[in-house]
Amino acid sequence: MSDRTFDLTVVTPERQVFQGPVAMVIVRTVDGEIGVLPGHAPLVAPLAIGPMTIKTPAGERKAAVNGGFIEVTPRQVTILTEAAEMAEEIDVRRAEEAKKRALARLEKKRADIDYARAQAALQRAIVRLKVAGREG
Amino acid sequence: MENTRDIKRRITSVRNIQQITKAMEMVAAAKLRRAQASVLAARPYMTRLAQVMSRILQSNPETSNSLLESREGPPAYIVIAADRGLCGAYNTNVLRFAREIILNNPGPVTVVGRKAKEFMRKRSFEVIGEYGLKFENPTYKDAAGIMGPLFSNFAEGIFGSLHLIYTEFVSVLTHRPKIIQLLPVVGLAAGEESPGLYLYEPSPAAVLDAMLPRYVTSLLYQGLLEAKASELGAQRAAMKSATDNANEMIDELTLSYNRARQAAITREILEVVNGAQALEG
Repeated sequence: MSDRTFDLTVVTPERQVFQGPVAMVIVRTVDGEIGVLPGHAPLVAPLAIGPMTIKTPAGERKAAVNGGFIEVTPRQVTILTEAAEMAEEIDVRRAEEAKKRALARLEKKRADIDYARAQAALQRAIVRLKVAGREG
Repeated sequence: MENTRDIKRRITSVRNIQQITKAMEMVAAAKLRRAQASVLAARPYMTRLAQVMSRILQSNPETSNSLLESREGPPAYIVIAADRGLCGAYNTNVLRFAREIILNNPGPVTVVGRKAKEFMRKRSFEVIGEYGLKFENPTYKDAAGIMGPLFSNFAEGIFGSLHLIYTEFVSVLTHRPKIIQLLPVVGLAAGEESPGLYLYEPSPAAVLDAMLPRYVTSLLYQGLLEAKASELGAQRAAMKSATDNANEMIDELTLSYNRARQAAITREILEVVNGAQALEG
């Protein structure tokens, strides 16, 4: 791996989740996964609910990202998202419970439940479990 | 002259009250520190969104969005106050400020906080939404929950603009009622970065479309946080002055207690001396 890095910032409305030099970041946009290396063309793209892989000089780190945007500028990369958690911050028990709840809601298939919302909740829980190292 | 026992009892009860106000002051101070940290932590997200959107608008002047266009219709308001009192003039200040504005330019109101609800109801303003402020710090989700119905109302044309009335947290001691416009979104044109050649996936308009509601929500979130910090600051100040007042009162009561005690002793000595003189007589 080359030793060139760029500055990555992951911010949510509530806090800054990550900030530091990285060699590469892989995120899932709504059109598919993209990997960003130093010198990437300027870009703004919406993100899907998905995992994020950060390759730092110190090693690889993973995070769960709940949608948002990636902004690539010549100097830095910013990920703006409504919620993001680094792998080590994820509460596996809560994620498992959220998954069960979402599945139960989808099972019922009633007209009055918000199908899209339940599905998004399920997706979030699965991603969090995966990132935390427990297969969803 | 008061009875020494009565005075003593009053001193004890004032001291008890003082202990409570002192504890409340310290709790408010601790919460205030956390609230201040949240206010600061919320800023980067909002400023980054604003920067990206300004750049899109600059490099694509033809881009339009329904959340940016001014339109006809009455204004609507979100008013943030506290859930409870015990925070000095905090509620009164922001609610009086809100009343002036709404009376001059009437429109439907969404209230946040029990005090705001009671105030607006009593004066029969048109209330379209009511939310409680949680005891803990407000979250971004709270802001999203409040904005949800308002976005659809705006899209349906129920009102032409949306304004947020809250208390700005200037410093720990200074809080000021303030009004800002949430919809249509204003103040994005001033971007300091050069436009440059950016790729917008799938298109600039689509990115703008997705970002604008989030930006508005984060403005409201910021407002909620500042209001909470102001409330805690006001509460801390109110409890501090209550504690100080109790101190003063204890001093005064102690003084009169000592006087009463001295008077009783003097009286007793007089009685003894008189008795002795009578015996000698």
